[in-house]
Parts: sequence; structure tokens; C-alpha cells
Amino acid sequence: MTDNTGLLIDAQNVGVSFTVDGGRIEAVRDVSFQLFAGQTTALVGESGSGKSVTARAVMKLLSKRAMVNPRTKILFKGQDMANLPDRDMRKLRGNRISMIFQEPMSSLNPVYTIGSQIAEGLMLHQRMSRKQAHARAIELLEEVRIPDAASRINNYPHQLSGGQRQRVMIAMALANRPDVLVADEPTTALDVTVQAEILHLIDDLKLRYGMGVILITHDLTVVRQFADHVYVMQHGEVRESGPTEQVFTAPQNPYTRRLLASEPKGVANPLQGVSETVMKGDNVKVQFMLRKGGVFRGSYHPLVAVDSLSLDLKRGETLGLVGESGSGKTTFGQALIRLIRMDGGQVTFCGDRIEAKSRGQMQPYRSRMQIVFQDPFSSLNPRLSVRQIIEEGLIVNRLGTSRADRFERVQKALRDAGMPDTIGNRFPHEFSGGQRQRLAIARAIALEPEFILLDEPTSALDLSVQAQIIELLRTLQRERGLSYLFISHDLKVVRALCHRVIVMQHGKIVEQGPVEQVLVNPQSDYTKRLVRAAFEIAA
Amino acid sequence: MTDIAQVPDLPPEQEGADLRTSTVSTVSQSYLRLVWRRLRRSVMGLIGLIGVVSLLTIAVFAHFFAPVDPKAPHLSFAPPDKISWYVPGDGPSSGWRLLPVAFPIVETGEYDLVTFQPLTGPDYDNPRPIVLFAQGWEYRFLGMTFDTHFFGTADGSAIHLLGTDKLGRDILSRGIIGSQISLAIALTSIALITLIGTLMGITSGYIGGAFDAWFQRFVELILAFPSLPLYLALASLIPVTAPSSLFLTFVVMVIVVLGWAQLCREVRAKTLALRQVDYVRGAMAVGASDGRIITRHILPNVMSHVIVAITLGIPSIVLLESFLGYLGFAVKPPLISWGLMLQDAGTFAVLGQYPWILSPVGFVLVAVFAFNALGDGLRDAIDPY
Repeated sequence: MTDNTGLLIDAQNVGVSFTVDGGRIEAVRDVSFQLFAGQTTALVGESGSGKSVTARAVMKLLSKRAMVNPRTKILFKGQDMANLPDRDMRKLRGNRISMIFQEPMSSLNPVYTIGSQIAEGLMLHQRMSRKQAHARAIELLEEVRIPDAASRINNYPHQLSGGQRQRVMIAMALANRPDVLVADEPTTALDVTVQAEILHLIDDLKLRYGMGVILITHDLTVVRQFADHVYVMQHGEVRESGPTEQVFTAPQNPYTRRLLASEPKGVANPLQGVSETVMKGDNVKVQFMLRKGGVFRGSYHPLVAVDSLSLDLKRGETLGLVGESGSGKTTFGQALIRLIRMDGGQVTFCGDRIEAKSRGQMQPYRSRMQIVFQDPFSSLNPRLSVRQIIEEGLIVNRLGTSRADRFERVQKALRDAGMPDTIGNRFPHEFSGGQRQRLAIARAIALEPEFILLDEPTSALDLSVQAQIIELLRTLQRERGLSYLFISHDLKVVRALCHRVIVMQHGKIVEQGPVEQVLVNPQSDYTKRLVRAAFEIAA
Repeated sequence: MTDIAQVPDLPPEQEGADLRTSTVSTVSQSYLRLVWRRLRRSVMGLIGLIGVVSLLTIAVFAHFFAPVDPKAPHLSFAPPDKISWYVPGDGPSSGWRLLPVAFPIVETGEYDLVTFQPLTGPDYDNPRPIVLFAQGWEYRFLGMTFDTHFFGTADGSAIHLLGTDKLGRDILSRGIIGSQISLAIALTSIALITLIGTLMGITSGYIGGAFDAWFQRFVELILAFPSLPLYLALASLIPVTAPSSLFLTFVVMVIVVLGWAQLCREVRAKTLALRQVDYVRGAMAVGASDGRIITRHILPNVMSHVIVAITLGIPSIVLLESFLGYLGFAVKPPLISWGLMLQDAGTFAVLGQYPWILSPVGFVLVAVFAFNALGDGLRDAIDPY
């Protein structure tokens, strides 16, 4: 690709550093990349690798604390942007170069209709009249395939779904026919099925208008499907670059190889014969009362979050609970361990009916069922030391004979969770996301439970860390005969960890069965779509 | 504690590297240490901290810092003493000095030709060197009698750096002694407000439901009270002949009764949010009791907010006291407070002629500024974690 025709962006030696407490941190060092018309260049890396900062440096959207290295040279169609005054840069931004962000809700202004927000850019950059801009906005919405665009244009952002909002963002970005579209994790906040649609949309538009797309993502599946060129980044440097196929099939750099190898793989631990049921739910129902209507004449109507669901989980087994956001999977899980109120049904834990037990009566069961949350940052109390956090369950449940014995157990739990046992006096904020998730697991296993509810324990983590946590969970299950109820939206992780899977949609079970059967040969349309979105992109 | 990255039993390389960048120091830092580290970087916060510490020191050792007996009468409405490093004239002590001297204000023996008031002016023939740790009036502290003062004149005679009031009492000394009462009112009120407000706020937020809904209406009722007329009405309820201590108690009670509601609301909001946080749910999942969840998980995380509310609440009470005192409702003589001292500055005629009697305003200003600066600094230091 030495031919320079169609070269849109030629970034050379991009370097960015930030002033922080007590010094400077180099976020990006000597990153060079090129973008050609009609192609997608992907910047891939885990959190903190500097991929977003690089893109923002190109857009000149960095915060005031950032310092751009003077050697940085960014050519846009041969014109050096580094020395461009702010005024000219503003003209370029949103006109020739557009950007879409990860979180479509916070990028749209909630008090304006989507039509007026799209029209604003048109009137500003292309000096259209209000009427022209309005007509063009409808065209754009049709282009990003929003059904019934003419009436949707008067909607406010909250009236659209997450996927539709992202489509509106794309429509806004495309409004001025930009040469370059920078997409910063455009689908991370969206459900898998929606994710695929959005990416295909971007791809189509790219081909139709001959745009160059800079795709920033951590998702290797997405990169493989949509990118022509890949730059793999780590710690602010490019580790490897090249055409996508080449990088994926013959990775040269050890980091790239490790990253590729950390895609969730393997299968669940083999089951040993027939074992007894640990957790059994029958017709579990949870509903929330929503208020509707005015201040004085409001009425309540129920929203059924979990609609008469049943499951049973054997000892040593992992049952996957899959569904998109809002499908009620977390509510179902928390109802089973009696963390939220149930409105009907039966729950049997190790042969005992627990759905009607009071808080005091539940106490003996508490140490036998545990939970690990999705977000490792909010699940550990920042004011308690690691030891206090893990010890709490032991104290509350009167486990351990003495202080020394409890300390012993804390250390063992830490070791079993793959952390050094010397960190008892440290505080949660000193650890990374993956390490915090290990601490949360240590807190759960310190009580030696029989059942653990895993509420998306890997979805907030980087890919390589995710693989380690999955491995840890598998090992713990093997050694302790644990039963997991694994809540997830990520079918790849489910395949790697679960024996059976239940697919949920709108509070109901759509399909269930052994993992191989459901994922290889899905029966319902919904499951088919989920599976296609998760795996077929990669194929 | 050694660097975690060097411990052999380490989770794979990536996280180790991640950790090294995420923690600047390898020594485990407690929460307090981190707050201090951030506070140290805020200039205003540090100024506030120094101000608050010195104010409290001066208040505790007020008699030591006050150069003159605050109740002893001298020349009334005397302007501040003249301080100089130069003694005029041709006497034996004239010429430049290394240490400053004070010239006392005396009646010159002449009279104003219009008002026939005796005129006053510095007595240049009587220079009195100012020294540290001077011997002066006697006071009792911790059951013992002392006569050493932070500074004063070498011969123990009265020095009026801020002049005197209408009864000829030293304003600086009264201001210093008055800080005791003013700050005591503020600190006891804020302590009670904190106690009641936090307790009620956590209770209301944690129990939630119908109790919370009704309790918050009650809180709003208190917040909706027109506080100023109420202060005056309540303060005038106490008989004028009541002993000073009763009077003070009553003032504190009124401030507390009207003051806890605001804090209660803030704490309740914070508690409501915390109740939904995963680590509280996690504690419920291990079967922790309500008491344990409140003391271990909710209270420590609410405290940072409360501490800031305290430091920002003190100046408003100091102001309130000076205001009530000015109107004659807070503190009665013979006790001394800043508000009471400002009562003297009530008439314009007096103010125009003797502007130095406004100097208690300076004390209030310094106190309010110091506590506010500290509160702002603390908020920035506490919030990020």
C-alpha cells in the first residue's frame, strides 16, 4: 500500500502525555498509522492502551491536561493538521471528519428532538435553510435505516432504543458527507444483535460514500469482520500492524498472539455422573409496580420482570442464563438467592424450601449461596481493607474458631482466587479491574459456598483478564464441586463455561438445553439471531 | 509491604503491569493518608487548615493570648496605641529600636473647641517596649494561676492594639476571649446537628418506604420555617433574668432544632444511593445484619460527606451567632462573644467617630474564611475516593 492515492489520514509519531499528580504519564508514544478512502482501519487494544487518546489526538479533542508531542505530525489529505488554528480545525471537525461515541444516550441532547439536532449541523456547515435541513435530516434517517423516519424525526432521544440512538448519532456524523468517520467503541454499550446491525450499517455506508473509517474497539471479532487494516496497541504503543487477515492468521508480536489466544475458549468441566439438585426454582415470578399518570390520579400497574420461570441446577454444574439487557436475568438470579422480593413461585435450595423464610431464617443458608457482581468497582467497599472485606462474611456467619483461624481462611481464599496472600492490609482502589474481580471471588469462596450466582462477572473486564477469570472459575468449580448460575449476554463466555443454557427474552424463557445443542442448533428465531451475532461475525 | 508485582504468586503479567501504572506508590495507603495527600496540594485548603488550627489554639489558650484583662476599664473609646520602631524626642531612650514600642493613648489636656470633649493622643514621652511572654494580668487555667502572656509591655501596663470600647475595655483581648464563646456555640451546635442529622438521615434512607416518605415531609416542614423570626421569638421566650449558662444552652438548642434538617436530607439522599450499591447488596448476600451494614458500609461512606458539611456549617453558625448577638439575643454580659461586641457598633454616630470598634467583624471574617476554605479543600480531597 505504498500508493498514496486515496490516503486520507497519515499520522506520524503521534505522542500524547498527561500531567497527573506527581508527574507525567505518556499515554501514547510514537504511534503512526494511515487511513485510506473506502477502508476501515482498526485500533485495537485493551483498556488503557491509548487507542481512544490516539483518535482524539487526530480530532484535536484532547483535554487541557494533555500535551501533544511536538514531533507529532498528522496529515489530512496532505495538509498538516498539527499547526492548524482552532478556527479551521472546527470547520474540519464534524464536516470532513466526524466522530461517534460509545454511549449514544449521553452524546445526544435530551431536550431537543433528534431532527433538530441533525439539522443543526447541516445549517451550520452547509448553510442550508431550516426547511432544507429538515428534509435532508429525514433522508439521513432513512439512510441509517430508521423505520418511519418522517415521523421519528420529531422524537426525543429518550423515545428511541439504544441501537436507534446510535443510528441517529451515525446520521449526524454522516450529515456533511465526511471523508473520515471515527467510531470510538460504537457498539460496546449495545446488545449483541443490535451491535451486528450497526456495524453492518457503518460498513455499507463506508462503501457507498468511499469514507475512511477509524474503528476503535477492544472486540477482536468485530475487527476481524469489519477492518481492512489493524493496529494492535498496548501501553500506548503500536505492537503490530498490517492487513487484518495477516495479523489474525500469522501474528508476529507476542502480545498480539496472547491477545488472540485469550478469546474465551475451552469447554466446561466434565460432569461426574448424576448428582443431586442444588438450586431449584419453580414458576418464580417477580414484578415491579410502575406508577403511571398524574400526581393525584396516578395508578400503579405491574411490570412483570420475571414471568413464572423454572430452573434446576445440579451439583458441580454451570447453568448459563443468557439474554439481552432488560430481559430479567439478573432479577431472576437475585430472586433465587432471596436478595429481592418474589411475587410467587417456589425456590428449593439443597432440598429446603426457602422462598417463604424470613431474614433470620435465611441466615444459615447465606454462607452456602454467594454472589459475584458485574462491576468490580462498585462491589467492594472502598473504606474497608481487603482483609476486612473478605472476613466480613466469616464474622457474620460465625465461621472460623478464632481470629487467627479466620485470618488463615482469608489468606487461603486469596490464594485460591489467584492473589498473593500478603495484600490483606491494602485497599480496593489499589487494584485493577481484574484483580478486584478476583477479590470479589475470594470474598465469595471464603465462605465455602455450594452455589455461586455469577452476575456477568467478566463483562466489565478486558479480554485477556476475562480469560483468566474464566479459567479461575473453572478451576474452583473442579476443586470444590461448586454450582454456578452464570448470567451473561456473551455467548462466547457461556460456551466456555456452561453445561446448560437458558435463553431469556422479556422475562420469559425462549429456549433451553445443553450448550452444544442450543449454540450449534438453535431452535427459536431469537436464539438464532443471538448466536449469529456472536459467532458468525467471526467465521 | 513489597511491590505486588514482585510477589511470585502473582496473577499473570498483564495485571501486574496494570497495577504498577495504577498505583503510584507501593506502600499501602490508608484512606486518611490519601485525603491528606490531596489536601496538601490545595493552597486554599492549607490556608484554611492553618487558620482553623490557630483559631482553635487561640480560643483554647485565650487568656494566654489576650494581653489585657478584658474586663478592666481604661480610657474609653481610646484609638489603637501607636506602635513604632522610632522614639522621637531627645530623651535617653530616643532613636531607632530593634523591638517595637507602644505609645499609650492619653488625654492631652486639651479640649475639642466645638464639642468640648477631651482630646486624646499618643504619649510620646512614655515609650513602652513590646516583648514576648510578658508578665501581665493574672488568670486561672486548669486550676492554676498564671500571669504570663504571649505578648505585652515589659512593665505590665495595658496595651490596646485595637483600641478600647465605650467602657474602656481592650477590644483585642475581648475579641480573643470572645472567640471561646463564639466557637463553643458553633462547635457544640454543629456536633449536635451532625449527630441528629446523620442518625435521622441514615435511618430514614435505610428504612425507606412509607416511613421515609412521611419523615421527609416532616423535615421539609422544619426547613420551611421562617428561621429568623423564630430565632428572635424563641430567644425572647427566655426570661432576661435567667443565668447565662441557661441562656447559652437555649440558643444552642434553637440552632440545632432548626439546623439538623438540611444535613438529614443530604445524608438520606446519600444513604438511598448507597443502599443500592453492589457492596451493600454483597453484604446482604453474606447475611450481614442491618446494624452491621449501617456501621460498616453506609456510615463510613457517608462520613466524608458529613465532614465537609460540618466544616461548611460552622461558619454559618458563627455568622448566625454574631447576628443574633448583635441584636442582643444570643449571649448576655458578662460573657463575651463576637456578636455581643458588635452590639457596640450599632449606631452610625459611634462608628463614624470610633471606627476601631468594628474590629470584631475582622474576627468573624477570619473564622468564616478559614472554615470555608478548609471545607472546600476537604471536599476536593475527600470526593475522588
